[in-house]
Amino acid sequence: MEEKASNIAISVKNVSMHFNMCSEKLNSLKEYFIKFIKRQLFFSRFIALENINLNIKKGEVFGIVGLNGSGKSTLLKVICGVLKPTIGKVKISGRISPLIELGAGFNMDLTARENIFLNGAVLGYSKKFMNEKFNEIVEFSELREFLDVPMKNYSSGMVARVAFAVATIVKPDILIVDEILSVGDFKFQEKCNKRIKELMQGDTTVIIVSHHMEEIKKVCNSVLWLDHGHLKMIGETEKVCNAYKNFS
Amino acid sequence: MKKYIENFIKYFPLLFLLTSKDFKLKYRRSVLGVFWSTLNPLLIMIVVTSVFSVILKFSLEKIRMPFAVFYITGSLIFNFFSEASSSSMTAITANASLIQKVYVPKYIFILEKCAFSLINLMFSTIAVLVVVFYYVLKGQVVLHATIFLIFIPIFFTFLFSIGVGLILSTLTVFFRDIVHLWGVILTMWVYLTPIVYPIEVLKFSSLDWVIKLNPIYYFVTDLRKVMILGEIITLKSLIIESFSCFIVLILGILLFKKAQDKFILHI
Repeated sequence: MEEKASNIAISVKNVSMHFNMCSEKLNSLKEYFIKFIKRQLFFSRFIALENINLNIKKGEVFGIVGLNGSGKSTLLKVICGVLKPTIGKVKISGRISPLIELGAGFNMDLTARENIFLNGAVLGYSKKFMNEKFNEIVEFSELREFLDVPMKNYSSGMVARVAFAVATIVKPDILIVDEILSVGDFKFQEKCNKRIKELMQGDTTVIIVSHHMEEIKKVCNSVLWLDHGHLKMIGETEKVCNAYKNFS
Repeated sequence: MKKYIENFIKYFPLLFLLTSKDFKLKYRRSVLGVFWSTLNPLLIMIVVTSVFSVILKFSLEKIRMPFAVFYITGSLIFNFFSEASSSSMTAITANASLIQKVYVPKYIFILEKCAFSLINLMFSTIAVLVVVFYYVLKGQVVLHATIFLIFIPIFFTFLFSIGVGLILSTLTVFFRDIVHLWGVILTMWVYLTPIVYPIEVLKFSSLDWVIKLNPIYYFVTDLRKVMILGEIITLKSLIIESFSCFIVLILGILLFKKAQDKFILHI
């Protein structure tokens, strides 16, 4: 697979992620010293990802499937830059907007208005930019009348609306979607789906993690199958999905 | 290096918003609002002054200023250090949910806590100025032009707190009981800093040396010098101050940088 470097949005090279799992969780200095003196400090190594290689082209819709605990979320976190891989390198060109868990970084004591600006800053947008886009976000979330209410008084659906609106205000170069399309009422879900489809048709690269095989089949160009941290299969949607289905 | 600066500029709005978030949350739904930061040191000063100026009657002529002024200037610096270090200590663990989901430069949280404490310090400075002017009117304190130099010891304390904050926040991620330990250390530290007593009290005791190893002693003394006594900071203490800030900051940055990729596994 020879690709032009400029065509690639995400390149993951020889990435391995190991965790040192302590047999017990040690959180205190006292415990640590006692165990240390008694020589009872054991670490076991857990391999979450092993030698993953992949290139995702610009504008591609890329699906990741696998059973629970197969390392899907770990891979997404490595791509987002939240986790640093033990070995290997991840190269990203463009701005990532993670939808991993909507509303990360909301402070429930603040009002929606304050949270929109805070969340924008978390995603690395400037204040000027947020001022320009503020109305659009509010429009999309349809919550104008509750703007100055602290978010702890919001329902979970309302929180998700605001979060989704903030995360998709700009066309990000790379959008990461981890099972989120079940937020809000059916009308808002439709709206979200429409928004994501718009993004997919543009040149945004989308990574989707889902257990809904139908959905993956419908939207993805290619799919990666992870199994216990190993890359089991990568390629055309149809082929990988069928193999995955037959396996599990 | 250029990469780090660009990243810092990109996330500067976040630093600003987090600080203003803390500010809003602290004073939301309080009637006197931000004036608590001014009122608080004043009230404590009144209590401490009425007790200690009686206890320490004999050594008070050594401090060359009214006891109230002596105490409130010292506590200004130490309260700032204590607040900044304790709040940045838990900065990483408190923002766990954010750090686990989105990439954000993690030192932002420590900087934010120190910046927020700095804002509180500004309001406490108003209290100090009130006390100073009260004694100026009474004729017990003379104003000097050197009062404009107060930002020097404050700046050093700020840098020192960032360094300590980086170290503490890193340790707290791995060992949660640092939080309790730090409370004890801060109490010891405040007694080893000449805030309620003049250093001359300890002239011939062995504690004299211990106190002079304490960087905050220099910050406090220099603040009093420029603010009340109209003296200029000596080159010697400037060197000691910048040297101790430098050491603590470098230590903090190195430790934090080395450990920050492992934070996510422990929070």
